[in-house]
Order: sequence, then C-alpha cells, then structure tokens
Amino acid sequence: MPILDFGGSASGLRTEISNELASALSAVLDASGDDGGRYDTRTRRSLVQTIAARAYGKPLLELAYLIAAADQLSGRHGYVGFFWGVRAATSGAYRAAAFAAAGRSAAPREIEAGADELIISYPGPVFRVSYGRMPFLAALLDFCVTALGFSEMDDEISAFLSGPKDREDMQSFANGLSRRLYDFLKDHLPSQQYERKFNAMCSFIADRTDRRVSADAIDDRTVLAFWEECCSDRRAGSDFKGFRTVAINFLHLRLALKTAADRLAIDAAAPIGSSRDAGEVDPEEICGALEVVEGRRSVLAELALPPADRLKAINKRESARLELVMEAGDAAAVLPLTILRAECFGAHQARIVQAVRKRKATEPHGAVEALIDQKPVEDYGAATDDFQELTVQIRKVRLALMFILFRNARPEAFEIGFDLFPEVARALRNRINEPEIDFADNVVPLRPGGAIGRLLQGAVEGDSETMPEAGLFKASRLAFAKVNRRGFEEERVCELEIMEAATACEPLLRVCGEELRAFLAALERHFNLIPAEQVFEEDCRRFHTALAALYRETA
Amino acid sequence: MTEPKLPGDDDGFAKALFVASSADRDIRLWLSEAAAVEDKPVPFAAFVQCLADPESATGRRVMEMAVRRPDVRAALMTLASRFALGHLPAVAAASDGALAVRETDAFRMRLEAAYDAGGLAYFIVERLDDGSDMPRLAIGIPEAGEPVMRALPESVDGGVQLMLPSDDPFLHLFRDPDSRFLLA
Repeated sequence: MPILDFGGSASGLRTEISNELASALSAVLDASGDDGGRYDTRTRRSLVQTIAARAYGKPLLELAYLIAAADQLSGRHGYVGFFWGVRAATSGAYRAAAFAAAGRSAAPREIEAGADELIISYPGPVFRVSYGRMPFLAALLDFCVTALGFSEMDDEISAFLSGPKDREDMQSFANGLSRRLYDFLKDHLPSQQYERKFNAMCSFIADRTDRRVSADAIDDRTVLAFWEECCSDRRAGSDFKGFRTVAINFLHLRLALKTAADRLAIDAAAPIGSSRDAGEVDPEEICGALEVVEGRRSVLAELALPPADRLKAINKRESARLELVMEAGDAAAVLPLTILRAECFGAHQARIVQAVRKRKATEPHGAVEALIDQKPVEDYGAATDDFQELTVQIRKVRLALMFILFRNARPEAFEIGFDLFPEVARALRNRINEPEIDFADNVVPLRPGGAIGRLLQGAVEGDSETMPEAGLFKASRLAFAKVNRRGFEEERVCELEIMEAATACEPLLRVCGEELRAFLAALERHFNLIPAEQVFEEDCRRFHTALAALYRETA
Repeated sequence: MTEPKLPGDDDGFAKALFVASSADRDIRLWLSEAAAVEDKPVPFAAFVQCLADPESATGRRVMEMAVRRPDVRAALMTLASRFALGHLPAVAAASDGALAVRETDAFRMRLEAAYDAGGLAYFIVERLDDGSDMPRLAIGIPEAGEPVMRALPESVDGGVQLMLPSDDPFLHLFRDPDSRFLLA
C-alpha cells in the first residue's frame, strides 16, 4: 500500500490512507453541480467524518429505504435518476424531485412526499427520510458507487430492489453494504497505526505520571519529553518523527480524553446506568463528537470554500500560521508552547528533512550537519510578534467586512461593531426602543426593520462626531480602504456574492480571532514567568540534541 | 472496592475518537495535498450528466477522457449499457459486404453518403415507435478492440443525424457486421 510520508513537512502528514480511498473521496467531493460543487460544505464534511469514524451503519439503513423509494418514484431511470438527476444535491432539489414524482398518477401508494420528508410505508414501521438528510445520503451512495464500483453496486441494488421490502430486507441490504464498506476501509484506511500511536502516548503519560491517563496530564513538558524520548531511542523512525506531527497527535489525544471524561461524567450523573459499560463504542456517537470538535477545525477550510472564498479574508501565509492554533481549539491555551515549538522548530525540522532527502540524491552530508547545528530561522519572540500582527490583521479585515455589511444595510454589521467596540453597544442601548429585558451590557438586539433600520441608515448617513453608529461606519470605511485583497474593491461592495461572502466570512474570522487571542494570552502568561528568549535558548539546546540523534546517525 | 473508572488507555471511546479524529485530519490533508493529482476517478455524477447531455461541458469532458482513459471508457460503457434505449447486436453480413442499415423495434440506424460534400457520410438515427426518449449517445462495440462513442444532438422530431468523415472509425464499425451498437 502506498504510504505518504511527510514526517517532517509543514503538514506533518504521515498516513496509510490509500490512494484509492483518497481518490474516491476526492472524486465525490469535487463533483460539480450548478455553479459550484455538487455537495455543500456541511455535506462534504459529514461524509469525511462518517468515513473516518466508520459510522455508516445507521445511514446505510436510511439509504436502503431511500434507494427503494427513489427507484419506485423515478420511473425508467430508477434510483440513479433520483439521486443523480439533480445537478446540485440540495434538500430543495430533492424535495422538488420527490414532489414531482409523487404527484404523478402512477406514483406508488407506499410513498408520500410530505412537506419536510419522504414518508415510506413499506411493511413494518413507517420510515421517514427528511429532505435535509438526502444530500448526505446521496453523497454516501456516491462514495459507495465510486469506491466499490458502479457495476457491482448496481447488481446488488437491483437484486435488493427486486425482492420484498420489509424492515428486515432493508436491514439486510444495509448490513451487506456495511460489510463491503468495512472490508474496503480495512484495506484503505487502516486504523492500526492510529491505535498504536494512542497506546504509545498513553503508556508514556501513564509511566510519567504514575496514574491513569487524563487530558490534564498532557502539558507542554510532556509533549516535548515524549518526542525527545522517541528521538533518542529511534522509535521515531516509525510513528513519531516530526515534532509537529507529535504535537498534533497530542492535541487530538487531549481532546479525545477530555471528551471521554465529559461523557463519563454525564453517565455518572445519569439516574439510570448506561449501556456503555458493555465496552461497545457506538460509531455514531464518535461521529457526533467528531462533528463538535471539527466545527472549529474546519474554519480555515470553510474560508477557502464558497461562498466565503469570494473574499480573500485570509491569505495562504496567514492560513498556514493559523492552522495549528485552529487545530488545537481550546487546547491552544493549554499547550501554547507546544504550538510555538511546532511553528519554529517544526519549520526548522522540515528544512533538515529536505536536506536529508537531497543528500540521499546528490549532495554531501555537510548540509544536514550544518542545519542541525543552526538555530531555527524564527525565534519565539519573532513568532509571537507575527501572531500578534495576525490578530491586528484579522481585526482590520473584520472591520472591512463590517463596511461591506453596512453598505448592504445588513444588521450583521453591528455584530462586528459591538464585538470590536463594546462601548458603542452600551452607547446605543438607550437609542433603541426595545424591551430592556433582552439587553446585556454589550448586546443590542438586531431585529430587522424599525430601530435597526434607522441605525443602519444613521451609520451610513449620520455624523460620526455625534452618532456612535456613524463612528462605526467611519472606522469600517477607513479599514476597508487599507485592505488590498481580492473582493475588497469599492466597486464590488454591493454585489450580492460579495455581501454573501462577507456574511459567511465574519463568524469564521471571529472564531479565528478568539482562538488567537486565547493562545496569545496563554503565551504571555508563560513568558511573564520565564522570558521568551530564555525558553527559546533552552529549547534550542534540547531540539539540537534530539535532531542530532534523529538525523546525524544517518548522515 | 473497585477503582472508579477513569478515562485513559483502557477507554475505548477515547481511543475510537482519537482514531477517528486523526483519520479525519489525515483524509482532509490528503485531499488538499492531492488536489492536483491527475487521472482521479471521474465523479459518478459526471457520467450521468454525460449520458443525459453528452454535448454539455461535463459531457464533452467525460467523452474526451473516455478516449484516452480505459477506466473512464469502461465506466461510461457500464452506465450506458444499464440505461440503453436500444441494443443492436451483431448482424449477418450484407450481400455487398458493407452494412448501411441496422435496426431494432424502436430504432433504425443508417448511413447515407453526403452528395454535396466529398468524403463525408451521414449517420442517421430514427425512432420507429411512439416512445418519447431519444438517445444522446451511440456506442459502437467491435468484436475485439475498444468501443467508439459519438455524442448525438438533441432531437425534437424523433430523428437525429451526424455528419462524419467517411474514414471515421465509427463508420467502419457500423459497416462491420460483427460489431454491435448501443444507443443510450
């Protein structure tokens, strides 16, 4: 099986995901629809999470019902016509297709197109599939067809469709498909490597702390000590070579342990014992937990996808800088040094890895030796300054987004304004004739029309010296003029797609700013105790020893 | 007294979440790094689009890929067979050695020389029954070798015609009684 080895690369990716799996997923996710992708961001993310968590059991049962119903609804082209007859797989498109088919005189009696769902009355309990669920089920079927082959899948589906359709038949078909997917993923997405990593990290922590492993036991010292030990006994040759990879693994481990602890706490509080004690882990539950943690991790990806990508709110360099902070989520404030180390020494290690590769080809080994003896190009002071500048930049871009939203008379403009200038929210409270009960210190209810309409008008047309809302607008206009990036052009401000992009970008950028501020505050607390230069010098010594053990041996 | 259960290396949930979370990240990274890889599988939706309208941008792209990529050709053939409007099997050799007409209950395909343009021939498909669907793709399948596909224009009156160079491989196949045809 081909292995991608990016042990010391910027991405820190070393995985045994097969080309075949990645290609199949890529084909499904890249499929085009009407003026964009066939599947929206949420559907794409759900599909990847479902595959990663192997949580396809229940969805396949839903799919079985939907395939059977779709085949009856769609006439000559059968289920293929229903699922792929729509260009963009949206709930609206499937709702329209279901209504059109169910309205025909020859429509089957067992299937009813409800307002929000397809109601399927085969023998056994009535089964309902909502239109909102259909894009995901379509993507799952798309993946099955692409990964397992249309011909084989179609034969299996045809046999299923020609038989009886009670609950057991549906379950039996779903189970068969589930087994086929399991067999495929066993070969193409092996989990042993991840399990091995989990065990190695937990063993290390248990040995080090002499107690059961918990999220709290993972700190910056533990991560560095683990990596150093891996480097010194060359265990790193297998799974833990790159510091950045190790950092990411510990971020994931910490989150997994924390989520598991929260879950146990909920169980303990429950009045009746849980069935979870049996030791079985429900993949659906894993997928649900993954969805929660992925919400923040996917922010950068969403900024790079429509509709947000019509504005270049974050450039490539900024995105790379933010990647680890966003991957860490709330752990960024717990493991700030680990993130900083991964940024500075991770990049340094990547250069050494590059030199090692070149040396293998042609160059003398002196280049590797020299690099190992050097310090990273960027020290902690410089990296921290860069992160600080990034917070300033994000604030500036959010102000520019506020300008776009003001110009389009969107109330969301005030959400940015009140977040960046809380004092304005307080000043405006008295100007709005709304029930006081809804008001917090820095919150103004943004209901359309009425007061908010007057505020929006006042912002654009009013005197910035006397009207706080006009002051907000003035600040946004000044910031907008300084953002020289794609989409931030005066003549395009009122285009629909720019307004949609600004609306989509704002909550994502807000999250980036929050994560970054929490991370920087944690770093500041750390460096108030021990100066950044001192930490950096000590780390240079430790990384030099570890990197020499890793790469000098092969020089 | 048993020790209270704490999350850790014996906790299946934490391990499963770590595995899923790591796999999820690796897949996302793989997808972003492999974005430029050539010869990725063609989305199934593109095949369906190609069959529905081979002259659309997606349809043309799939048809072009089918010429150079055996996997795309095979997949398109499979789907076309599944939804074929007409299967025209191999036939007995014509008395003059070259076939000019093939037909089923529903369709007739024939060749006619183009009188006003030297070296060209018309490939004509006519609907014989009162069905409403007209094919958008004609596929010639030789006894041995690779199939040859031609997109058909949209028809409103139950007939379509293509003008092809007389040395077009599709015409060679048509005249070969051992070859068979699909209309999809």
